[in-house]
Amino acid sequence: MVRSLFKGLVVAVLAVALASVGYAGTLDEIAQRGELRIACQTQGPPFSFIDKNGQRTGSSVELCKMMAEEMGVKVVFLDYDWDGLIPALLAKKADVLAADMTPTLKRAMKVAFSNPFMYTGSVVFVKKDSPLKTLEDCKKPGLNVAVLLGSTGETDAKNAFPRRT
Amino acid sequence: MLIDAVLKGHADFGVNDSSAVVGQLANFPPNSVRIFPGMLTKTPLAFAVRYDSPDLVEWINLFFLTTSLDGRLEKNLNYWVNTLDWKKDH
Repeated sequence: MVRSLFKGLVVAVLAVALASVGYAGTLDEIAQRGELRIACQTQGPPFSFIDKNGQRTGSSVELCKMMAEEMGVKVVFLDYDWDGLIPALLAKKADVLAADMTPTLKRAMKVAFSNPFMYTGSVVFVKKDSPLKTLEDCKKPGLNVAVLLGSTGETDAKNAFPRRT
Repeated sequence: MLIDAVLKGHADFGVNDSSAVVGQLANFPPNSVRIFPGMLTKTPLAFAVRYDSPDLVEWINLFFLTTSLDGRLEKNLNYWVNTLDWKKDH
């Protein structure tokens, strides 16, 4: 009885020890590989684009370069269409998805989002000499609003200025 | 396209994502458009990893916290997103 209990204890201790030795997190993999692989999109300024010198740059790109520098590894950018970003990450072709992506609940069913690095949103803009000065002015009847069909801006405009739609 | 519609008088005002509006302003004469202060909505932007990379997402969160505290994140966003400062270099 004592012997079998002892055997069981030894097996349990070994299992825990092997599990801890065998575990290699993604950070370990990145360090051993010497490369941080980023899935990104070249959608244009300001987040990710090719500049006039032919260099990939932009807000997200420069943040990723900074991350790699802090990790002490090289950064590799892998270019995908918008629809290919999440599949590439899930297929382990990339370590990080760095795009101007909103962490929606639906997307979070597939991937784990970091804390937000910034907030964006819809804004109202007018011609410099427009008599419209406030959002209340924009609610007056008879005004036309320009939006991109199907965009978040269209939805926001419909909510903020229901009489325009 | 939206800015063009407003400048040509086809629309009285436009509604679009703030970073897109600021980015597209680079293609128009300076100060030709006035953006109202504040946003109609507030949408977060974030990076993503696989759910089997909890160590990496924790590291990225610490990276954003660290660069927020030392000013590097704000410097990046002010250069790239909140202004057109990047235009002169890129």
